[in-house]
Amino acid sequence: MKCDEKEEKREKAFEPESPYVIICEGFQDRGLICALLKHLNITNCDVTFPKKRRDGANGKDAIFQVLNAVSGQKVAGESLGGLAVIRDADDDPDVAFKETAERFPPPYTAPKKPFTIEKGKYRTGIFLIPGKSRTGTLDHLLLDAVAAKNQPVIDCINRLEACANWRVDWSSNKNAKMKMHCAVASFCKGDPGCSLGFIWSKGADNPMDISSPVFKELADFLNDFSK
Amino acid sequence: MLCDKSQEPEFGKSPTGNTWIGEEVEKRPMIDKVSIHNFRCFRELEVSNLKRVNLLVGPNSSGKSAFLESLFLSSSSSAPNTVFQLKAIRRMGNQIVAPTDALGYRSLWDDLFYEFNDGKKIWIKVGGNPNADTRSLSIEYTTSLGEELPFGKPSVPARTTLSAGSTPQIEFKWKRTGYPEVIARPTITTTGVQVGIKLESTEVLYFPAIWFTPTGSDTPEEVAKRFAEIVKRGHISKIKDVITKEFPFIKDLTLLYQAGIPMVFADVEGTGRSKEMPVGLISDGINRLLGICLGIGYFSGGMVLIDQIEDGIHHKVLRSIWGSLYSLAKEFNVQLFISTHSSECIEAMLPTLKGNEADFCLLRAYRTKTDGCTIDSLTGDYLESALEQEIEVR
Repeated sequence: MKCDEKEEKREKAFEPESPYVIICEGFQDRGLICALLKHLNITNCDVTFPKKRRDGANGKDAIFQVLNAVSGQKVAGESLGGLAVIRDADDDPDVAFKETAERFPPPYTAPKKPFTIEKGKYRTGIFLIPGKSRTGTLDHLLLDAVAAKNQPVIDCINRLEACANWRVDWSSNKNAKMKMHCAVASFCKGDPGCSLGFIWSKGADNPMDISSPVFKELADFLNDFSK
Repeated sequence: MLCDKSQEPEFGKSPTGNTWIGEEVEKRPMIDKVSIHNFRCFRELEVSNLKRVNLLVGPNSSGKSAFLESLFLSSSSSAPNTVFQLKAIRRMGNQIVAPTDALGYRSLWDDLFYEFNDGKKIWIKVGGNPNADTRSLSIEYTTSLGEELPFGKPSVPARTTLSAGSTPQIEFKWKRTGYPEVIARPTITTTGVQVGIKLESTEVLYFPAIWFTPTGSDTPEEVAKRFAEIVKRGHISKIKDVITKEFPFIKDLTLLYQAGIPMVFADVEGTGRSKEMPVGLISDGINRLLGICLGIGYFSGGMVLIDQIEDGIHHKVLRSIWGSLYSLAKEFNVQLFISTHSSECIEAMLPTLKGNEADFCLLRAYRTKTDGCTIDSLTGDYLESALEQEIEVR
């Protein structure tokens, strides 16, 4: 499994070493997925994400560009055994699924529905964060994990939010991001500004548990994809 | 650099005297498919969707050079001669010991065959597009000729007495669209340690092609010859523009004699010299690039193969050079096959690739577990995605 520091920072070009590749939106998503793979003892998946945003293009186009580029990769002379995309549901999970499914390049066949693995000659899957029947982003899922481990922290942050009422016009996604940064800052003594991409190596400074039940859907998806 | 200079056709003319350069060439479609059977490391290979610029990548021993060899070998009816040029490029020596028996004769050619199995025919077909200038080459042993060959050095007694009918004879058949088939049955004669190859056919036919290798280099006369011919054709300003744009300290290029040898000189700014300098003295990399540009101009309508293009080129000019080579290739209707191991060189291609994806192709060579080497053909769109997102393409 490719989850080393160098690859996390994308200092070198991505070259898969495992037959199954997961494409996510960014470095922070990758942190959670790699932590889960380690926790689940899954070793046959690599994780990558867009290196660059595309000027003037839909924000998700970079993911689709990676999907296209990774689809042509080989491991030990063989085509990849599977491709999965893990991305935010954003405001409309149906749109998120449809626009992603449409971009699976041949010979990979897009899954018929999200959260399930298509198991033909090549495995494919699409997981929409935070999970089934939900809108939102990675931050929403992580906030659930913080709440599961330490609800009082969330209560404090909610009070902060109430105090900072001049910011009530924030979108749900930005609001979740603000809260998540607060949670990390309040928990991570060693590095209050720690990126979510690195939080999973912070031990007791991490406001979340990787074994939290809130990650079960994603864990099930990863298990199914890898087996 | 490799091309069969001794038998180059007159510039701008086909072997039958038809004009190559001009509207006919501009309209001639490029080849888009190569099929190879039983050649070098390829048991069976078909590469499709070839484009104007074909970038060839892959690990060592994945078949990149063998693929370029197949293209070059099939570009003329003098393939038996080319085989020995290829040996030199592969650092297998530029001389051969004249064979003294049938086994020795076969060993001259057996490395051409997949897994040295010369019992099976080699064929290379270059074409695809029905209107393209297609070529095909087959190589196999014939058994019915019974032709006695003058084996053996005079000073070394033959270990085997070969009788008529038992002599092996390899046969090269070359066919180009619109031309008669040429059959070459090389025989080996000794002239000291040099070995001459005689072709049965008196006519040598060519498709315009040149191969720039990392180990080879143009002689000044070859470069001068191409320069002069492009001057006659009225296109030299296009080549000069590339060199002076990439290396602004070069103000102009001209053809002069140095110690009786014609060569290309450059007007170099800031040398304090009152006369011009041979390009070879200025920089090996610039000299190589000039050779490549002249090759594109000279072999108009043909194919230019460049092995390890990054050799001798500073990284800062790589981006611009990609643009220049692409422009020249379009201008002269040349198809480029370019290999590299350098990620820096590949990344530098991106600005040229953007917007011109349909003219580019990525050929990725690799070794399979059981069937020798193979090559995947990937689109320019794919290449752009991978380069933009820093996905390894080599």
